[in-house]
This record gives sequence, C-alpha cells and structure tokens, in this order.
Amino acid sequence: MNCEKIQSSICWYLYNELDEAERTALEDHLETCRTCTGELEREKGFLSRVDARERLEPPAGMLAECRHDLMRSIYRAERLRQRSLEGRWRPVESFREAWVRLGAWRQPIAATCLLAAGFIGGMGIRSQAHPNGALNPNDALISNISAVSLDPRAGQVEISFDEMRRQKLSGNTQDPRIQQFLIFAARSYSNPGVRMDTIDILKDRAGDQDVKGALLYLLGNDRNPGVRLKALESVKDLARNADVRRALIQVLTTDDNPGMRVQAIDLLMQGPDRSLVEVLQGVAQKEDNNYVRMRCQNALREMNASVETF
Amino acid sequence: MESRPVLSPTDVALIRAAQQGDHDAFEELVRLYDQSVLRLALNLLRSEEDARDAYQEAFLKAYRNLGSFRFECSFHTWLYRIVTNICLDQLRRKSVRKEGSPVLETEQGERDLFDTVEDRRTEADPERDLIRRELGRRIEEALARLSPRERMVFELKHQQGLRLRAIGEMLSTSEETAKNCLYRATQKLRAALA
Repeated sequence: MNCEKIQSSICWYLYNELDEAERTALEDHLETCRTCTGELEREKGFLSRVDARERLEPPAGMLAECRHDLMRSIYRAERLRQRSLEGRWRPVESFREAWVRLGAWRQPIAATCLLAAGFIGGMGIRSQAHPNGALNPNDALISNISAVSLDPRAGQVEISFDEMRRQKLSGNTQDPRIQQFLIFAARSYSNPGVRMDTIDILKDRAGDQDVKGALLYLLGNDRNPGVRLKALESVKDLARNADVRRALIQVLTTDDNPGMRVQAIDLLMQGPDRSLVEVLQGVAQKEDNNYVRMRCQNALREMNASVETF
Repeated sequence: MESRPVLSPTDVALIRAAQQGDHDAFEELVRLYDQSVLRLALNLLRSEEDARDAYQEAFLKAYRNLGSFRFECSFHTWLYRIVTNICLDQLRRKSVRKEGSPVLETEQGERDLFDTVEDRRTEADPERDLIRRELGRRIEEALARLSPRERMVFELKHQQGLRLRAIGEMLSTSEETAKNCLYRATQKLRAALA
C-alpha cells in the first residue's frame, strides 16, 4: 500500500470500518512511515474535536412522560376501534335487550307478529297466483319458469314463474324513496351507463352520509374505470373529509388505472397531512408508472417530506 | 452501540405476542428500545419537543405496522428505519424553515447548546471553556449546513457508534452509499473547522 492509499484509509481505520487484511496492512505501513503517522494523528485530532460535541441526554422524566403519552395514545386508538366495532352490532343488541325486558308479553307479541307476517306474505302470493290479472306482456318480463303441471281431470295447466315488472318512480332528488333507489342503482345495477347517470344526480348530495357511502363504494369497487372516475369527481369537494381521504388513499394504492391514481394524488394534496407522507412514500417506492411516481415525488417535495422510505 | 444482526429469542417472543394483540408485550418492546430512540431523536433534532413528537410518531407507526414485520431483519433495524425516516422528514422541514441555529429548546426556553454540556473538569478554566464553547458553536454551525441525510449518517456513526453496513440497512441503501455520505459529511466538517 502506498502513502496515498494509506492516507485515504486512515479515516476508515479510525472509524473501525476496515477489514482485517486492510487493517494489518495499514498498521504495518504506519510503523515505518512518519508522514502517514502524522496524518493519523491529525485525523485523530479532528475526530476528537468533532466528538467534543457532547451527546444530549433526555432530561430526567422525559422518557417516562413519552412512554406514558404513547401508551395513552395506543389505548385511545384501541378504544375507538373497539367502539366502532361494537357500534355495528348495537341495533341488534338494543333489540335483544328490549325483547328481554318485555317478559311475559313476549309470547303474545310474537304470535301477533307471526300472524301479521303470514297475512302480508299471503297477499303477495295471492297476486302471483293470478297471473292473468297481473301479467301484461308489454310491461312485465318472465325471468324464470320454475314448474309446469297439468290437472287432466280439470283440464287446467299451472305454470309457476317469476315476473319482473317495469315500473316508474318519479320525484325530486330530496325524496327519500328516490334517493334510496338511486343508492341501490349505484351499488347494484349492472349497466355502467345507469351508474354514471346515477352519480350525476347523486353528486349534488354527496355530503349526505348514505349518498357519500354509495359514491365511495363506486369509487373503490366499480369495475368500470369511467364510473370510478366519475365517482371520484363527485367527491372532489369533500377531499378533506376523513372517509373520502381513506377512499382516495385506497384508490392511490390499489386502483389499476394510472389516471385514477393521479387524480387521487391531486385531491389528497388539497389537505396534505403527515399520514399522507407515509402513503406517498410507499407508492413512490412501488409505483411502476413513471408519471404517477413523479407526481408522488413532487407531492412529497411539496410537503417537505423525504421521497425515500427508510 | 452495534446493530443487532439477529433477533434475540426475547425479541421474537415479544414481537409474536404483540402481533397477536398483546399490549403488554408491545409495551415491553417499547421499554427495550425507546431510550436509544429518544436519544437519537434528541441528538438529531436538538429540540425536546421535536424529539417527543418523533418518539410518539415512530412507536405509533411501529404499533400499527407490527403485523407486517416479517423477521427478515432485527427489530432494532426495523424500528430505526422508522425513526430515521421520521427524523429525516423533520430535518428537511427544518432546513426549509432555516432553523439550524445551535440552540436547544427546553421547557425553560431556548438555551445555547453548549450550556447544556456538563463540565466534567474538577476546576473550570474560563479560557478553555470559552474555546470549547467556540468550537462547539462552529461544529453545530457546520452540522447545520450538512444535508439531512449526511447529518443522519454522521449522527448514527458518531453518536450511536453504528457500523456503516447497519447504517446502510437502516437507510435502505448500500454500505458504500452510507460510506460516501459519511465521507462528504466529514469533509465538510473538516473544512468548517480548519
């Protein structure tokens, strides 16, 4: 090893970063070379000056306070999570508790309910049992013929089938029945054109919890990218809402359409927060699409956050 | 402090229990590692308030993501990845706000950093004390001019005593990159202290 190479290794020698062979070669050289020994001393002096900056130690009590705050935050987060889980079963629980409180009245009430159910059910069956009156080929569709039987003595044929009727329902957008139908159409109907029209109508009431739920469902689950994009546009005024942000993060991390992911970044950046940094860093690291990755990186820079994930 | 290349049986048992939802196990993990986490954050960020925030954020993130820990690296490395990332973000924000002044924010207000350094000599020498303070000031100024990543590598090497390989692992980069980073940091400090 020549002096130049030795001198460039001295720093790493003092940092204990040389392997055994390099260390031995350097130490052998130092034994015979005054120039390099002088350099070693200078480097030691430099590092000792730098290390004169003493370490800060957390003041007494700070660690305990941090632990306490942390455990309290975790406890609170868990409580919230459990409450939200319990909330889903609350109506069932309330009904069960009310039912138990009825005591001796339970049997007569149950019997009355059964009778009422039988009566209402019977009315429905009755209308189906008389297809002549109900069926009109112009406004009904037969979806399934399940049985055909002939009574030879009476000369009667009996056909069992399911009937679909086309009906019209009209009302303004505030009408709860209309809204219910629209929400059902958004979530269930197979024609993407209908779903898009439905979004167009629902978007003005996106602040309503049920409407928002339907729009976010479409945003996260619809197979048609055009419908998803329309759903995304419909919630853009709610970009700071926690539910919407969660849905947008889901789009950013799981939607296979790059255009959707870019739109999600734009909307999420309307209310940038620290939790978004982690999401963007994760996407920036895994994203295959150069443009989306670049937009993530730009967003992180805009938030003065690191682009890389460590 | 050396990075732990393998997981100790205690760590494995605690992590598995915490992954199953055992809060006591997670608290035990916190107690094992939080002192070094807080010290690193404090030395990097030079502010008690920021160090507290980094501590909270790091362990909450660890709590939320513990399920994704796959035992492919030591828990120490995994946790330090989280902490260094958070501290780097804070350093970057600080550097944008140009808050690199060599002061320590405490509950009693801002104090000169070297006022906090304990004078361990039996007899205080005012002249040497002045030189020591001046040197400290220059080091702090020089450190404040390093990039956040250079500062991080420097801190992990000088204050935490980690090997470059471990630093590279924590920063999700190669040992060579960490080495280059440390080299640049020491060159800048050398120039500032010349």
